[in-house]
Amino acid sequence: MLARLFVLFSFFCNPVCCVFQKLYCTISDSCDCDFKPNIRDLEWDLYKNVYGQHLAQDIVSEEVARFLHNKSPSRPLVLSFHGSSGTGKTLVSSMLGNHLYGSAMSSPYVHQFVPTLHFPLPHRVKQYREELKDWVQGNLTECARSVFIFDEMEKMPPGLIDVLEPLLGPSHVVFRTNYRKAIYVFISTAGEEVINKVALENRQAGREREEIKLDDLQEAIAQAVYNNNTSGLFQSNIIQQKLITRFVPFLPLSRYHVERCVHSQLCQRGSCSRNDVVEAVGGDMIYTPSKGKYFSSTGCKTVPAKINFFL
Amino acid sequence: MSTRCFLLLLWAVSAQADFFHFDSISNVSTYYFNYIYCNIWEGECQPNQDDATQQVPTRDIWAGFPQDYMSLLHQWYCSLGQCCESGDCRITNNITGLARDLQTKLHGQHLAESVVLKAIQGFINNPESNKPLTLSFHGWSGTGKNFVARIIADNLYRDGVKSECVRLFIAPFHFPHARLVDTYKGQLREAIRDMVLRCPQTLFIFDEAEKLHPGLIDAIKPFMDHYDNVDGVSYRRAIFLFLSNIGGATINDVALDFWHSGQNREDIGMEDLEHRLRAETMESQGGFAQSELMSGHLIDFFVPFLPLEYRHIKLCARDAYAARGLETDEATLDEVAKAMLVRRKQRDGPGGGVPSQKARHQGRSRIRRQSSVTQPAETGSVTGSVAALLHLPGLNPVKTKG
Repeated sequence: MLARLFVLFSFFCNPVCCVFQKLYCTISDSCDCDFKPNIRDLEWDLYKNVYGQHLAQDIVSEEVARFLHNKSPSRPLVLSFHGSSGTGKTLVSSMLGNHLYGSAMSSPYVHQFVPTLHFPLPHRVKQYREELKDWVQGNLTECARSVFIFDEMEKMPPGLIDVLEPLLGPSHVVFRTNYRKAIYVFISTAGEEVINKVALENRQAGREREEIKLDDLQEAIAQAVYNNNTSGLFQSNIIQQKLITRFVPFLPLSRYHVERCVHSQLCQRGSCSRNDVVEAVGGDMIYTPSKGKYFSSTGCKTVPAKINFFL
Repeated sequence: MSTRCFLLLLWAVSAQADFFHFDSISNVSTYYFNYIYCNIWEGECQPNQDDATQQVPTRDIWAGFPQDYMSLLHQWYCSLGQCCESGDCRITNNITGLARDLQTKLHGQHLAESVVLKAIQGFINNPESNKPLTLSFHGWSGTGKNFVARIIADNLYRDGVKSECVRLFIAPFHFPHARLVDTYKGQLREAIRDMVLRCPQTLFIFDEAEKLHPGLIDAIKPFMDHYDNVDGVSYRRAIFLFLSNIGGATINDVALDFWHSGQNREDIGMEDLEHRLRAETMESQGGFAQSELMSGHLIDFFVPFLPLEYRHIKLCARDAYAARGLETDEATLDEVAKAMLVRRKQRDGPGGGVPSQKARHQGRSRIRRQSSVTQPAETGSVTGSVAALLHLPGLNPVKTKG
């Protein structure tokens, strides 16, 4: 009698349940155990370590929080990062990976695809399509909350990514899993001309950077990417069917942001007070356009190397 | 029966209260398993710094264990030759040795000396770099690019160029046929991945990079990028060196301008050269130039190698004699250096002209300020040419070391 009471007690009493689950999770690293989303840390990381991207910070933290809050979402989260090189696209995607999974980017449930590495030969597109589809479906079956990051989409052979179109929509069936809980991130430099033009106009008109709103850019980016024959999403159904939840623009960085990058790198190495190094590196970067020199052409990319030189 | 249930409940509650330290025990056992698997068994592992189970358990589980036994075990393990300061015995990271070698053995390259030293020192001393170090050496043949690469390998690795952590690719030798580019891409990727798996701080040297096929470098560009890991392997501690002739003409022009205007060679600064080098590299033909490395800004430093002057050739000649254990005097060195120039005048090389004649017109002292563009002989290095010249009759050394 007491035993039966005890069994009932252990099943319905929450703390004891969690104890067993916690015990199980310490020795296993399955998908459910490894998935430890930490929205607060993600926001902290985004707002502290990404410079000059007010749009990206807001959109990413808002969308991810909303998506994870929903226990059974109606469609997967599909974010598309656009911007010139060095503005922080890969950085933000790796922050996502770091704060969603306990084992960060090396987790087996975070998948990163680089076209020049994984899909190098253009005449094998059919084979890659099959492989990609099987890979994604297989991983979704294993872990519903997977994260798929497609970097350098501008190098992706056109037509390849369309094989994922059904998996990005709301009405598909994948057995034994809820495929709508996955997160897809597309990163590319397509559309950078549009973004840079808007940023330049904004700057030349003397307005604050924070006044650039997403609505100015959303449609323009979608158009530019759809029509650009070097982007992986050239005339893709994914854009036509509006399967991308949000386009996230990454604005070009000005000298002020570059100097903040330098400063934070220096603090990491313990030389916070070296303002001369900050000045020197800031001055050594290449700025465009040629008259005005407002924005760094490489973002924050060569900063750590230059710090080594001036330190 | 009831006592058993009670004990079970007690155990469950204590687990929640962390009485038995279940997760730290699991951390510790995973840590030691990984340690044995990776270091003693030498299975395929990558250090995951973000993985909590891979860090040394901070709570000192073994505090109760007697200190003497631990130190005995440590001594025994070290006597097997497995303990080294940097953790991996194949890697010595001797920065002071590198600085000394660059200063004493390298002549006439003040820019290369400072940039290479700072770049490597900064990279080695910063374990959290977010991309592999990528250096691009530019300059005409014979100015010391391979020489510096060898100095780097000798000082960073215990076995120098023959180390298993150093790999040299010569473009026309390893990747000769244009139609086999796809095969080469696969081979190169496999080779790089295997080497980095075995030795995280691998040095890759790509010689004659201007002859690399288009697309070959693009294939390994992801390895040089800012990724955490590529297919599970982290390349953040690797070093890539590209040696090429691209931009040699620009560098020579700048050096000649400085010389004509009477300025000191040591006043040539990076700012004079770097932007022009970048611009010329972007414009020139060839796989390396048009590759993504330039536009993706993955090259950390462009290192220019200036053309050598008369006095530098004399220094090289003196080093060559010293390497053979022979003593020599100024006259012999002068003859060797002049012989180099004579050979140069007979051959009408591209660009550059023949500055040695201009020097005579300028009326400056030949020994002090003769700028020569040392196009090398077939051996491909100044030292090689000098060594070859030593065999000419009439240039035999005055006395030999007994």
